[in-house]
Amino acid sequence: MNLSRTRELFSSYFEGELEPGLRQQFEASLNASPELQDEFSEFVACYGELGKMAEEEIEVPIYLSDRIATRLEAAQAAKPRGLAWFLGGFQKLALGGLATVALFGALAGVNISQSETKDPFQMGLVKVFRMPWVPAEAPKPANVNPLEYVVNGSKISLTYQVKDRQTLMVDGKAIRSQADVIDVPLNNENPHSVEMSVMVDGGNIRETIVVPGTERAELTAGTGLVNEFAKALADKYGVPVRLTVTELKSPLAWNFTASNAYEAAKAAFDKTGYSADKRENGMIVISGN
Amino acid sequence: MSAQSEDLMLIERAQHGDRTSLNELIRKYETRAYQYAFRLTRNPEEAADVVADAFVRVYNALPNFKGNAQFTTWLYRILTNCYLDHRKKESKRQTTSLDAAVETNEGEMERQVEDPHGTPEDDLLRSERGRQVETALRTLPDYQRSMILMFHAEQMSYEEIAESLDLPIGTVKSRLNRARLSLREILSKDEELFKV
Repeated sequence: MNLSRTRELFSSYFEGELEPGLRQQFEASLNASPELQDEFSEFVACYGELGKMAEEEIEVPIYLSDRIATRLEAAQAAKPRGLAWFLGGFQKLALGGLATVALFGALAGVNISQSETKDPFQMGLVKVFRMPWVPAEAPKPANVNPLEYVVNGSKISLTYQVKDRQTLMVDGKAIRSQADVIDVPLNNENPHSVEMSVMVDGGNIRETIVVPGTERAELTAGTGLVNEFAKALADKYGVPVRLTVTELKSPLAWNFTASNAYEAAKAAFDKTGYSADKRENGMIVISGN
Repeated sequence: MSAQSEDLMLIERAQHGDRTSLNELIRKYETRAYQYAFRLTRNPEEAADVVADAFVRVYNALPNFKGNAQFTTWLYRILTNCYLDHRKKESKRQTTSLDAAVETNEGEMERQVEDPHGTPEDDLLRSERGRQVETALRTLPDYQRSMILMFHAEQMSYEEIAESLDLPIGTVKSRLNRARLSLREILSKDEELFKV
């Protein structure tokens, strides 16, 4: 696979949408080129920055409802009489908007003055207009990951606490629900482990889950990027692995002689910048960078 | 009742002449419409104009809305088209040199130009990275920018974007990838952005 073709697949790979064969070719191409690895790391960082746009607070000017109503009335007046099916009705839209402004104005004044005391850099907010009819939300706790995994024997499922209207994407597929909590079974009927990408908030929260296959591998030694290591670990020990690393670094070498997955991961990560953690449910969490 | 069913109900009622339902539909989506329009224009006045024009188009086309698409994806399509039309009109307008002096009763004065991006105080409120991304986004062609905003800021799925822009999903994916590659290239020139 040439460099140009590899770049064409950056998004699909990052979102976990590549077929296994193509994914292997992509990874081989990435492994062969440090320059491309750097580009992909930058691409991932860029993707993350783009996801933060959703956090930008854009406040609606108080004249918006009035402007819409005025334009609609002009459009309605321009229509033949028989088609003027909303005569006079749009004033209510504008007045309704203004009434809402009046109702929440004082409350918003309080909230605005409170919001000005917060660190805007930390909050990542842009103040454009004050929006008087939407009371400011209470500050959200930082670094709360709304994703949890339930491991029950060989069954793994993802539990997502829905917040705002952020979309959960699993393996590139958007999962929507009106429920407050979404449960997604992560099934793998293949003999070997598979990677599944999990993404929330347009990539702001992004991780990879490696779900073990139905068979255990005999191989104990190998080299590859951290995601390949995670698959090897899952194949060898039959444990699910959660990858929360922000970039793929230089290839690792491993030799699985330890009696369990956690010890094996710790041994492989010595002086690499990655770290492994074992959760109560048996899942291995790899983080770093 | 799901949001989509509620929209369909409001649309059906509006199609039968219930103006309260149309007003409700507008009130329900005007904030979201404005936020998207503002992200496209980065100018509050222009964004309000785009939204107002878009709802006029909704009003005119509502009798023909069949409910095959979600109301929201239809609205995004209309908003995008309104924005592109605004851009075309802007580019056709006669331009005046910003260096040219303005004639006043008290003689010639230097032209004062309003910065649509807000005051220096507003600028300070933005993170450096966010500003770099915003600047880079402005260099993209309009259609790429609208796709990037739909996916990353509006958090629409590829399917919804394809429906909104009436494009095959594969085209949406490849164009979005190209847009992200372009942004990466622009942003990589500033090494600070990618420092952890």
